Amino acid sequence: MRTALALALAACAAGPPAAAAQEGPFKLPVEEAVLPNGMRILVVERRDVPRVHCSLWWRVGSVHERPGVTGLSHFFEHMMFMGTDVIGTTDPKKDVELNARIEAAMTAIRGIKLRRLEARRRGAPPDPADEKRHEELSKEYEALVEEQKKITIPEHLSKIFQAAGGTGLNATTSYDRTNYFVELPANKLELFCWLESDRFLKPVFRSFYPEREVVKEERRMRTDSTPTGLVNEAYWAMFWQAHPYGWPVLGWMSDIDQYTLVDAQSYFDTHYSPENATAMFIGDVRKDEILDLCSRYFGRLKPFPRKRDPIVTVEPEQNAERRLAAEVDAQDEVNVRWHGPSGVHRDSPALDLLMNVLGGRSGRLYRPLVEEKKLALDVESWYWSLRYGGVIHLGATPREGADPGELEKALDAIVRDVQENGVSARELQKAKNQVTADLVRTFKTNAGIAQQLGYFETIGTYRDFFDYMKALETATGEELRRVATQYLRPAGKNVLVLRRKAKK
Amino acid sequence: MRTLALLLPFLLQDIPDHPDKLSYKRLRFEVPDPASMRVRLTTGTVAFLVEDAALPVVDLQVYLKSGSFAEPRGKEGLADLTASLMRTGGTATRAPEALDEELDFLAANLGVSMGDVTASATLSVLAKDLDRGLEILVDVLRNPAFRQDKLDVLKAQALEGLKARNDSTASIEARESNLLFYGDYPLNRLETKASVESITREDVAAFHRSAFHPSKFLVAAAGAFRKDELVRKLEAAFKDWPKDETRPLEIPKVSHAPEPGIYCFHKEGKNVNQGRVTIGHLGIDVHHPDVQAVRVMSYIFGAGGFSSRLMQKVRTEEGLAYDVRSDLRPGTSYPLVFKIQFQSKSESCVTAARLCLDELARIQKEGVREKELRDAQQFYLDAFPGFFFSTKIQTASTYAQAELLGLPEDYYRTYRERIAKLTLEDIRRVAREQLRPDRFAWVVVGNIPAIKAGDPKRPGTLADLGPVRDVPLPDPLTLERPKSP
Repeated sequence: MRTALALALAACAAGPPAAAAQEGPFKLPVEEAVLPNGMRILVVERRDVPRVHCSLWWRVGSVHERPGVTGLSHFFEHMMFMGTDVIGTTDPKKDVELNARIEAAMTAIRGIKLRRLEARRRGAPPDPADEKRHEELSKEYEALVEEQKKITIPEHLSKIFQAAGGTGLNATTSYDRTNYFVELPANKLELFCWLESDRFLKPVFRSFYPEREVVKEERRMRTDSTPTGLVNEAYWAMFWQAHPYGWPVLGWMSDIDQYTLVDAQSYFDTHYSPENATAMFIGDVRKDEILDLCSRYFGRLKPFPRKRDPIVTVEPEQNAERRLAAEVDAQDEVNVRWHGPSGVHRDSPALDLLMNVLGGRSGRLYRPLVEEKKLALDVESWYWSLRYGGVIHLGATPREGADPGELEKALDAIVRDVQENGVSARELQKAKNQVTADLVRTFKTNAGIAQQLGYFETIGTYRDFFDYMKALETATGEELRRVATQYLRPAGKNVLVLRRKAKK
Repeated sequence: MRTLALLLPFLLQDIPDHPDKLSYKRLRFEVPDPASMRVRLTTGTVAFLVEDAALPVVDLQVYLKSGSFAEPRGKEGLADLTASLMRTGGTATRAPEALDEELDFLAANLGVSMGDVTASATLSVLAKDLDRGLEILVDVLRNPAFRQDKLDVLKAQALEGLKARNDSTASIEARESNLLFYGDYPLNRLETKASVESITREDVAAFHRSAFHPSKFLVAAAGAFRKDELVRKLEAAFKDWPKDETRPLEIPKVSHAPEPGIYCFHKEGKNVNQGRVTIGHLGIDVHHPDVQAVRVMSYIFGAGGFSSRLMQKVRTEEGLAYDVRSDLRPGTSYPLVFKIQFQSKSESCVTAARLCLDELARIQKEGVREKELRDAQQFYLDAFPGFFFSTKIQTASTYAQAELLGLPEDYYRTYRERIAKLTLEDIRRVAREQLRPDRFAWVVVGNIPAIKAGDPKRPGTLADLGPVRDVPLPDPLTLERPKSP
């Protein structure tokens, strides 16, 4: 897939990612090492089957982009499957030469596109001479691509991994991180280290422009052509006023259409320094062996001399409610979101517990809204915490004929009740039981463990588990009441109301 | 300039210049022995139980043969409603609210679901709460109360769901494909407003009685329990049920074949800038002798993810689709559809389809290369443990479902041998025998006028690829279609 949005949405649907427990109901023996170049290695030995889930988590995501190159992190992730001077081509020398000629043609085309934008800004028609030149350049470009195909081994990296028994080979991009992963037979770990260190040592961005078309198709599939894709994108952009989280991970179509090889190279040179990565090996693996492989292979990656700039923009406190209303080909919905803190913030466990108290069939929302007042068909609540902030979400599907305004008021009243009267001891204990057990369940599979460790390595380090778990255990009802009051403020509401488009 | 190019030579020691030069230790994987986990209870229930103390959790799954295939005509939607109401409608001695409250407090997950020919109930519970969890699970399976107010909520939800039928091109494609390929077949017993509204508590109770009985259950469980103790608990849970009133599930033969051609479904909306295309015909079921040959051929052709020919051609080389694949999986109870599927911007659907058909003609004519076959075989041989046995619960569930569906007894034991012995000739033969372009029917969903026109810069329109028919979308609630324009 090489997915972006799917992951973001899946994370939403599944509720907030949670942490591993070192104390409490069970132990997860995580072994940690740091290479001299700063790259982190985590190993969890499990001997169920002779397979290992291998992944590389880079703390590089759409948050690191800027207007004009939105979606570049995700596009870059696609590029990382195109190979190196060894993988993906039969003639590296000619490949370099063709890449340069392709780039020259596309740079000229980009000039025309920019002039077209300028004409459009003035409401003027595009320059006919430019359009003619565009056609010639396109032909030239296509001929070069055809020539490059002759020396390209398409999907070479995938073929090698799969022929080695690799499954689930893929990568995903999100706001804070990009992860590359595959599950391999236990005897193929050196292959992983070879291919992964090779592609981050000397990537070659070949098939750059055809892949741009693939990413446009991905955007059409996930966003444009779906009933609510564009509206959800607008809702997300409304939510983040200042923070670079506001643009879509997939990027705006106009930006995807303009990336250049230079953009991708400079992105790599800024962010893909080994101290921004964690490699994880979960499964039938021996720590000493894998650490030896890692230092031999990943030790080749040199830290970049210049550290990237930190993310300094802080989302300003929201002091006025924001609303978005849309008519769509989809069922009615009322969604309310508030800003929450980072996943490593000390309030994060209390918010996870609070959302658990509100949600679920025995939670605060379900019975009054679905069964007693019959305003809703279903309700949901989650807190999705990223590295620099979080999203607190309450949502409901109105029943046929129910007034969304009334449903929103009823949601408000339930929130107010928690803010004024807090939660009961049993509610608190139930939430702790559920949050903890859900977390334990994610450790049933190698991939589940990787997902959890990777989440914490993205927002802090896996050691932040321990603080999270301790705080979860010791959280009080008073804390839940406080975070409800502090974060779910009336002036901090971001509301999306969806109504089904009337039939023509 | 990239600084990474400054490699120190000594670091390169031991690192071969190509991954093909790496060598690997031999890896052995013994297929877990189903007999070691299989237990037949005195109630007739068969269980596959695996002790696994890694986490303080128990997973228990109950499988049975039932589902939408068992719905009486006019009561479409009954199977789903029965499953959901078992979970939410309380039991004879537990009010729904009390049941939800207790499960949530125990942090237990309990679910009941119905597919087309199989149903399941699943319990995930902390090991310390196993007795309580099992008691509730069995109560739900045996004594559901089907409370009317809960049925009303579920029916309202189902009706709201019906309205969404034509919302996305993906859901239109899935539904219309089934209707086209299977015609009047139980798979196409689709709920309508009338059928959902007609469903009563009595219908639900009768459906429940006709499906659920321990003598028909296959149980899979794994987790922190002692096997002999769990056997005793299951014996106790399943004894003394009322007499078995279940009815065997009938799975008729598919007798329908659509008239070949291109069936187009227009989706309104100026945001709809991508078409979805399915091209296919009915395939084989899992008892067919060529099932592994078809699997490997399909892997090479279009089911093998990024490595597949369709992906390389249509996506990686041409940039015409994000996702393109073939799906030639065998059915386990009835034949599934062999299909090619992709999504592409409206104007390039014709070109993408043409490329897929060219690839199909190529594999039929030339077969595959030896390296492709070897790589595909190696994939299945090496990845095999991960497909079916990656966790203890997956292992138990693999065997429980195999027995439920009547897979050949040696299916998993011989799975790898049957892959390993395939020859180039086998692949070429099944590509010719099993892929039948002359029978292809297409489902095309999206902005149909734009899709039909094709790409002005590339040859051909949709009509060049076969007879094109426009089919209006049905009313989402009644499934009645307006007269064709």
